[in-house]
Amino acid sequence: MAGTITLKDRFDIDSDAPLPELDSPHATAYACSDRMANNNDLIALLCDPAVPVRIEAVDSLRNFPGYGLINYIDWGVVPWAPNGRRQAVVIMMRPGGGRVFKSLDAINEPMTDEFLIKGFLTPAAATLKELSTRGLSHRAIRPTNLFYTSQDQRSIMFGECVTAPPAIDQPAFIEPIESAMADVTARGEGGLLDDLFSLGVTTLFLVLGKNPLGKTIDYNKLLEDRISSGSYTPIVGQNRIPMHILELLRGLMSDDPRDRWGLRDIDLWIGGQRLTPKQPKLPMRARRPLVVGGREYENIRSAAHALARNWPISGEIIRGQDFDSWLRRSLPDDRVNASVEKIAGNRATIESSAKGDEPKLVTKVSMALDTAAPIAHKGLAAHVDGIGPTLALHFNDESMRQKVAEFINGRFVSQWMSLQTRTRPELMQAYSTLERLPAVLLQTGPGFGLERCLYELNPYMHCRSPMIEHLFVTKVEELVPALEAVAQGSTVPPIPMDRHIAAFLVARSTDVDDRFLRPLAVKSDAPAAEAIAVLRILARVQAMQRNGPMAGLAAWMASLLTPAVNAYHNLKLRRSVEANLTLATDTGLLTELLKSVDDGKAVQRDEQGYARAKQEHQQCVSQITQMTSDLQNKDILASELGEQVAAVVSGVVASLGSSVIIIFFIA
Amino acid sequence: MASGSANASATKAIFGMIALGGLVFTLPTVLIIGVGMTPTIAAFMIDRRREKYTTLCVGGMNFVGVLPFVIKLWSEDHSYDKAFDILADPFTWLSMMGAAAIGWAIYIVAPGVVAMALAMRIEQRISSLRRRQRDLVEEWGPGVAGSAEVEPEESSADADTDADVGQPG
Repeated sequence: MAGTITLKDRFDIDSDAPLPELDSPHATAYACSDRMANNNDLIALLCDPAVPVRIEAVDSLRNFPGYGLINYIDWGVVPWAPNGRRQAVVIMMRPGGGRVFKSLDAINEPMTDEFLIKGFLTPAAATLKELSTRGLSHRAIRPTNLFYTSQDQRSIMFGECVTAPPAIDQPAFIEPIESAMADVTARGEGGLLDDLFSLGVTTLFLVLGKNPLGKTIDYNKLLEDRISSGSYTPIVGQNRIPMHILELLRGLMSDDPRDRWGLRDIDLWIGGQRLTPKQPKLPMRARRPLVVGGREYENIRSAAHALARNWPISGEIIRGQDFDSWLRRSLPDDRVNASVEKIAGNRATIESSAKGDEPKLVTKVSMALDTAAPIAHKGLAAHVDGIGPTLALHFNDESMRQKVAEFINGRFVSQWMSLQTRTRPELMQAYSTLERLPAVLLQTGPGFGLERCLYELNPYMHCRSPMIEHLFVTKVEELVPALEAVAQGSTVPPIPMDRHIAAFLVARSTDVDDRFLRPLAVKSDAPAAEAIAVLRILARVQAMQRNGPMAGLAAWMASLLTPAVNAYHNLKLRRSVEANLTLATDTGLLTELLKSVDDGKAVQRDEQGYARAKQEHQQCVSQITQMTSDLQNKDILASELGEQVAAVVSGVVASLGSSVIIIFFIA
Repeated sequence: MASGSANASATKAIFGMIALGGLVFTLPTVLIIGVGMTPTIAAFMIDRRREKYTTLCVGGMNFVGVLPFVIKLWSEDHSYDKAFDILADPFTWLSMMGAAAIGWAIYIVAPGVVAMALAMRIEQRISSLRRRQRDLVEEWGPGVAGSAEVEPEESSADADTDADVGQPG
């Protein structure tokens, strides 16, 4: 079947049948059918390879009950013929109806109370409850990611949430303030409370049938307004909201997570219980404003946000006397002052801090002023678990790479954690990883640096090596076969190893640790030293992952090992090693290849033998020179010796002759 | 010191007296030897070497030529007449001078022969050393001779492996 790409011998994806109405911002939808279940009502979302996929969420979302969430079936990596590369696809049930809001500017019929409750909030609350039970958050609840479950539009379901990092496609005003303050890519996994806020704003869309903010939105001003006067008022604006709905919206859009409505509150509201609407809880106001960049900021959160955003000038402000008096005398809560002292030190420490340390000082002070805000350093505002997706999405952006590296090296996370009033067990994994990474960044060799950070912080990121990026290697066992595929290609790169492959291996495999990588960083004069170091790593991976023979890769490595073979001085030994290498290449097993060249003792013996042979050859040359000289002067040498010989011969003959004569006469 | 030197002179004088006495009593023998050993005396006179190889060489053979006539003198009649008879015989001269000539011949030929033998021995040794050098180069490659390490095996090995990579598997 032309244009059909099969996943796991089960799902047939029709690459000629795109479904643009079901596209996600970072994934393209195609028609799909399930051979096993004989089901044609599937879609395959082809994921953008540049964007990390929430693979762990896909695995947890299978067999999701109810109809409040698009039904995930499976996922996998397929060779996508149209662009000649491998890409991840997520298979899911096709929504029965269309998208509720085709864009944020779309205008729909306002939703009736009955539909809102039965068709949206009831399944939505059940879905969020089930997600929470499974330890997941949706983080893509927005009007444009809602679908009718059927053609008759009786209820609404959430769209997919796995083809991009959490909340990356969420408009800032649909996210809670803490999330909106972070860079889009660095909003982090978040949790149920974030989903509830998004549910509130989405409900507002459905109630109004349109975007409450209109078409032109100044997101920065909106965020400042939200910080100053709470999210509800700036977002709802002049729109008229029925009183009973207002209660729901105020509860869900509460900026204080402790006050925000939970699933139980929604259930009670659905059940008919009505309460007095909560008044928005405004952030603490200072007795006098703090001036940053010529503007006055009246509450602590807005001051912290302004300091972080204006970081190049904020260092000077923080070290100034005015900031100190603002901190000591204008804040209503002494705990803020205590937090600043705890993180940034006392007044003397702050004043004496070096000019070069100002960005760190700004980060620490803004962190202490607003402990719930993302950590902001040099213009990058990130939640603890948002730094990984940020690095993944901006890995080729040198300025962002630099920001991420400085963020990691700043070791702000432990300080941020110490300021939190509630424990955040969900962040412990990211925290422990970030604590290890400054040491990784210190080392510059392959397997370290930002590449290592990329794979440590994004556990499901595929290997981004230019050699094999198109093959979408997500697991260690896929690496050697991918390199084999490269070896079988028409153009073979210089060596089957680079910084990405090394970092990917050490981050993903327990079989390869830092000891294997260090030789890659050492510039050795030994012939093929780098090739042998690479071979040692790949041989181990091939053996431990039981990849089987890889003839192309073995031949590739063998070609790189030629200098090592030629380094043997003893020609007989060299021919023997060559023969062994050829035999090992034929097996396709890199361990055999390694055995044939990685014999340190043989190399040492060869070196010693060669040195002796050179010395002996030199001695031969000296002796020949000496003897040639003797030969030229043989007459001189023979003259004296000849006279001696003549004397001896004459003496002997004379003695014998005399004896014979005497005997003759006596006889 | 002075008495030691006087004693040595006295000893030399005593030995000189005895030798002179001996010569007086063996004058016919002295005559034969004196005449017969003339080539040796001549060789001694022209021999500039301290070791006196020429004198030894010629003298040894010359003595063999003179010895039969001295014995003949002693065994037949140790007298001047007999000594003159012997000296008057041309065969005597032929023997004595011939033997001395053989001594001269040995002296002249030996250095050439020695030079030849020496050259042969050196050439054999050089051949042996060159063979060893060839063996070393065969075993360890031209690099062992200290020349530039251009090894033909390397280029051929490269070509082989390139072919493998071109058509892997």
